[in-house]
Amino acid sequence: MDNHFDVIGSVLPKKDGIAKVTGKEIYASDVELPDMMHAVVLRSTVAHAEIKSIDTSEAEAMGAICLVPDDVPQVYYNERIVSIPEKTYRDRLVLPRKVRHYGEAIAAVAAETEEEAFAAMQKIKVEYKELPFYTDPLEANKPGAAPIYESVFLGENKFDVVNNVACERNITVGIFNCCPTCGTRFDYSCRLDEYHCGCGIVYTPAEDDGKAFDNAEVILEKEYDLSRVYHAQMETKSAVCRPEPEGGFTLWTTTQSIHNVRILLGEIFSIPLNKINVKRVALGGGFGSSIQMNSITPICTALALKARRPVKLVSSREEDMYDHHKYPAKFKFKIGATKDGKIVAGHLTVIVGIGGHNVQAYPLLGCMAGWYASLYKFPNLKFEGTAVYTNQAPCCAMQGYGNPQVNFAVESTIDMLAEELGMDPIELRLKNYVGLGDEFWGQGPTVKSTIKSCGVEEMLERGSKMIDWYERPQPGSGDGNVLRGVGLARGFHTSGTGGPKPGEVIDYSSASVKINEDGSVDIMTPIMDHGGGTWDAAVKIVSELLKVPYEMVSLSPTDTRTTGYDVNTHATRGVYCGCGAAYHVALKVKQELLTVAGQFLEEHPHDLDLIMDKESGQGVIVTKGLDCKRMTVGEVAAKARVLSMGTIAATGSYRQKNCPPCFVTNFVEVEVDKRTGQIRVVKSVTLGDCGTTINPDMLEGQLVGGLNRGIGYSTLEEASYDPKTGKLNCEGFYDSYKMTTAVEMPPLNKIETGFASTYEPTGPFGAKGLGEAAVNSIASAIANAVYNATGVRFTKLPITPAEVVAALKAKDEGRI
Amino acid sequence: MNSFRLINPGSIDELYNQLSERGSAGRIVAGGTDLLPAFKKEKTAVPEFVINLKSISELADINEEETKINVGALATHAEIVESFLIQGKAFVLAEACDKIASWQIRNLATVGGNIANASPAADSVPALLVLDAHLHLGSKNGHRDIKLEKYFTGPGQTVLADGELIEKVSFSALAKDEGAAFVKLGKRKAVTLSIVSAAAYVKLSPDHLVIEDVRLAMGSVAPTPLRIKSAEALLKGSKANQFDRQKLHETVRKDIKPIKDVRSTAEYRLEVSAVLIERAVKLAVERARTAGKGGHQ
Repeated sequence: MDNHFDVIGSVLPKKDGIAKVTGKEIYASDVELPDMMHAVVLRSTVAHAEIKSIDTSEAEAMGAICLVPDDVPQVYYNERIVSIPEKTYRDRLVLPRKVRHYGEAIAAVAAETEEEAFAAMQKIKVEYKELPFYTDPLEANKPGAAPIYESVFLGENKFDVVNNVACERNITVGIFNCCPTCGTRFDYSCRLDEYHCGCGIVYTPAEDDGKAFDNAEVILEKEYDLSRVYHAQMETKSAVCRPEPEGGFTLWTTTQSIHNVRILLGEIFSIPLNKINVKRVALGGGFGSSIQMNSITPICTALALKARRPVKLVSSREEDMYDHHKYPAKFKFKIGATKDGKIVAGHLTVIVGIGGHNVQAYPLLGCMAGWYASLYKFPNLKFEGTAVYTNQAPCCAMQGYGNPQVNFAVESTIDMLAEELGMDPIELRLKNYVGLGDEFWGQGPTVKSTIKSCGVEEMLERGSKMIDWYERPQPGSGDGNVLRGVGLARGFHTSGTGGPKPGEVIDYSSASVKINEDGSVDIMTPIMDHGGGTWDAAVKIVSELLKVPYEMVSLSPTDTRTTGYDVNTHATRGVYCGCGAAYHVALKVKQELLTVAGQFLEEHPHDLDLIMDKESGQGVIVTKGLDCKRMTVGEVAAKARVLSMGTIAATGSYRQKNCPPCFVTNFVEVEVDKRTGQIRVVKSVTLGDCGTTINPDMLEGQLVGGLNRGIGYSTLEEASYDPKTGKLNCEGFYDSYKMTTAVEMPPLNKIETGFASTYEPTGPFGAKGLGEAAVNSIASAIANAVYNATGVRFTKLPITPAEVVAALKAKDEGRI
Repeated sequence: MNSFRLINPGSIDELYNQLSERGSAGRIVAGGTDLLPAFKKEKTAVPEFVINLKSISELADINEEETKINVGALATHAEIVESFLIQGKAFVLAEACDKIASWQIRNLATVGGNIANASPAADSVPALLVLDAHLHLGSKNGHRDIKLEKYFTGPGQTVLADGELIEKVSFSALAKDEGAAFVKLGKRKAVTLSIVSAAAYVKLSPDHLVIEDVRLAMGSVAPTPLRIKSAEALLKGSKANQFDRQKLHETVRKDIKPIKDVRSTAEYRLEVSAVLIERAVKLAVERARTAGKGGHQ
C-alpha cells in the first residue's frame, strides 16, 4: 500500500452511509410529489402473440388514465445507447403491438392510488392471437420456426430477421479463414456456408479450421452450457415523472445513466433535451440491469404526459423478474497446444438466447470474443457468435457482460488441458496468459489497449500459498462420503471502454469541481454509484488532489441539467473513467487555486504546493521546499471573494484512452457430499488487481459479493422457463428463485481477500476498476475444485446436487 | 389480486358460526403465509370471505397434560422453536419448525396451517408423524380426534370436513431412552422448501444397544408426508449402531413415490431419501442415548 496518500486507500465513512442506514436516502420510489398519480402496468399472460385488441373502456369509466400502444410515439428504439448508432439494433416501441415474452408490458394505468389503478387495470380486456413460442434458442433458430420479428433496424437500415437470429459476429486472428491451399484470406464478417477460393478450393469454415491447428500436439474439444439468471438487484425499477408547465418534464428514475435516459426520452417523445431533466437519485444496485433505460421509464413518462400530472410507477419484484436476465450461453470450445504447453489455436462458438428484445447482443458477442482473446495468447483465434431471439425476458448485461460465461468455458478447458499435458495448472496459465505489454480487448475487437499494469504472476504465487495449492489432492482421489478439492481460475474485467481510438462504444465522462468560500469543495458529477463506492472514490480523488480533507469535500445533488455527459456507470468504469474525469477537472482547479494563491503570496504558482492539514481541517498552500509562507485553501477562497476575484472552479469532459484490465485470481476449496451431491465452498482466496486501492473496504466487499453471486451462479441460480407455458418456473417469486444466503458462504475466517501491489499509470492515482472482475472467474474456480474433489467434470451451470449424485454414481459404476 | 372481506371472529363459537354460515364462500386464514401467495400466484381462487383465526388466542396455547403435549393450531413456528417445553420434551418438532422458511415467516406461520395446507413438503409434519401425533378437530357440531397419519389424502387434500378446523395437535412427550430427529435437504440451507425431508423416532433398549421401537416419516417423496413403515419394520429390533444400510436403502426406495418438480428430480429423491433416513436415525439414536443428560432428545 502506498503510504504517501492522505485519503486514497483510507477506510472512511461512506458519504451516503448515514442516509442509507437510517432510511433517509431517497431512491426513485421514495419520491412523492403533490397531485401525483400512481400507475400499474398490465403485463402479458402469454409468451408470444399478436395483440388483436385492447379494450380500456371499463377502466376509463372508473376514472383511470390508460395507456395503450396507440398512445405512444411509434418510434423504434434501443433502450441502450452505449454503442455507436451504426452498431445499435432497434426493435422496440414503448408499448408493443405484439407480445414477445410472458410478462411483457402491453398497457398501463394511472389512478389516484395504486389500488385504484390496479382495480382499473383488471378491467382491461386484451384479445390475443397466440403464436408458437420458444424458450430454447436452438428451437427458435430452426428453419420454419415462428418469427419473433419480421424485421428490425440496425442503425438506420431495416433488415429482415432470418430464423430468429438477432445478430451474428465472427472474429478471427491469425491463419483462420485462410485458404488451406494458397493462404488467401476470406472475408468472414458475413457467415457463408462455403467459400470458393480463386485457387479452386471450396472451403467450409464452419467445419474446417484450415491450418490453424496444424502445429497442435494436443487438441481438446468441449461443450458448455450456462444458465439464464436474474440480476436480483435490491431496488426494483421505478420512475416518477412530472410534466412541467413550460413543456417537457422532470424524471426521477432507476438508472445507471441519467444522460442516456434523457437522450432516449428526447428522441422518443420529440422533446428538446433542455426541456427534460433527469434527476440523479440513489440507486439500489443494478448489476447491469439499468445500463439501458428501464422498460417502465418511457411508460411512466407517456402516462404523465397523457395525464398532465405527475405519475409514479414502481415495479413489483415479480414484474422485475420478468423484465431482465443475464445472457445464457451454449459454447463449443476447441483448443490446441504443443506438448510443452504453448497454445497454438482456439475456436470458440457460442449461441445465446437473448429473449424477446435485442438490448445489446451485438456488443455482447464482441465482448465475448474479447474476453476470450484476452485471457490467453491465441496466435490463431476464431470466434463465432450467434444471438437468437426467444420468447423470454430480454437479456442484458449482468456483472461481467459475457465474461463469466466465456471464463467458465476457457478456464475449465485450460484446467483439462493442463491435466492432459501433465502440467500444473498454474504453470500452464503462466506460460500463456495475456499480461504486461500485451494487447487487451476491453470491449470487443474495436476497443483495445496495451496492458500497462498486471498483477497476474504475483496473485497466482500469493494465492497458491494461501490455499496450499501444491498440497491439493489428486483429482477424485478422496475416499469417504465427503470429498474435498481445491480449484483455481483466473479472470479479469476491463476498466471502462476507452481505447486510443474511439471504437464501437461511447466512453467519456464529465465533472465540475468548485472551491467554496470556506475552503470546502463541491463536486458535481453525473456518474451513478451502484453502492460500490464510486461516489466516495470521486470524493477521495478530489480530496487527495486538492489536499482538502475528506470531510470538507461533498457531492452536490445533480441532474442532467447541471452536469456534462457521462455514458454510464457500467463496464467497471466508475472509478477509472467517471472519477478519472473528476481527477482531470480537479487538476485544473488545483492549477487555478495555486495561481490565485500565488498572487496573494507573491510566489510563482510553480513554487507552491498543497498539503493537507488534518488538524485545522483545511488544505494548505505552502511554498515548496522551505515552508516559509502558507495560506489555507479557505483563506485563499475567502480573500478571492472579498476581492471579487471569482470562484475557483472548473468544468470539463474527459475520455480515458485506455481500458486497463483489472485481474482477479480465485482459489477455492470445496467439499462435495457424495451421497447428497451438495457442494459447499469451505474456503475462498480471492486476489484482485485494481491498481491503487482507493476504497479498500468496499473493494473487499466487491470481492466477497462477487464470491456470493459466483457460488449462486455455479451451484444454484437458474431463471428457468417452463417450455409448456412460457412462464418462469419461479413465477417471479424469490421463494422459488433461489440465491445464496449468508449461510452458503464459507465461514468468515475462511474468506480471504487481498490486492496485488500494482499501479496503473493511466488511472486516477494509479487506480483501475474491479467490480465486475469480482465475479468473472468464481464459477470456473468452483467447477475446477469440484473436479479436483470428485474426478468428474461438470460443464453445465448450475451444477445441481441431482447432477452430482447421478454423475458420481455413473463414475462409481464405471459408466464414465 | 382480487379483494376479499376479512372476518375477525371474537370467540371460538363465533368462529364456528362464521364457518358454517359462510360455507364455501369463506376460507380460513391463520398465518397467511401459504394462502396469500396462493392468491397472488392465482393458484387458489380468492373467496368472498377470509376468516381470520389469529384473534382466537386460546388456539395458540402450548401446554402439557401429564405426559401429553398439546400444541394449539395457532402456535407459530417461532413460538414452537422457542418453547422450553417443546425443546425439552419433543425437540424434533422445534428442530423441524426451525428449518421452515425464514424468521419472518416463522413469526407468522402456524403449525395448524402447516398441517392443514397439506403440502407434501410441510416440514413440521414428518416430525409430528414420528411423534405419533393426533389432531383435535373442531366444528359447530362438536369435536373429533384423528391420527395425523390418517389426515392427509393427497397434495392439498385432507379429511377435514366443511366447517371443520384443526384446534390442536397432541403427542406424547419423549421419555428415557427415546430420541427423535429431523433432517432436510433443500436447494440451499436456509429459507428453502424441502427437496426431501426425513424424521426418525427411536426407543432404545435400556442398554442402548438395540432399537426397540422406531417410527420414520418423510416429506416431499410422495403425494403426502408419510410414514416409512417397511423401513420401520426393518430397523425394529436391529442393533442401534449397526444396521444394514444397503437393505435400508432398498426398503426406503420401495416405500416412496417421488416425482420431478421445480426443486429436483425423482431420481435424486430416490437416491437421497435413504441417506436422510439414515442420518435422522443416527441422530435420533444419539439423542436417545444422551436423553436426560442435558442433550436434546
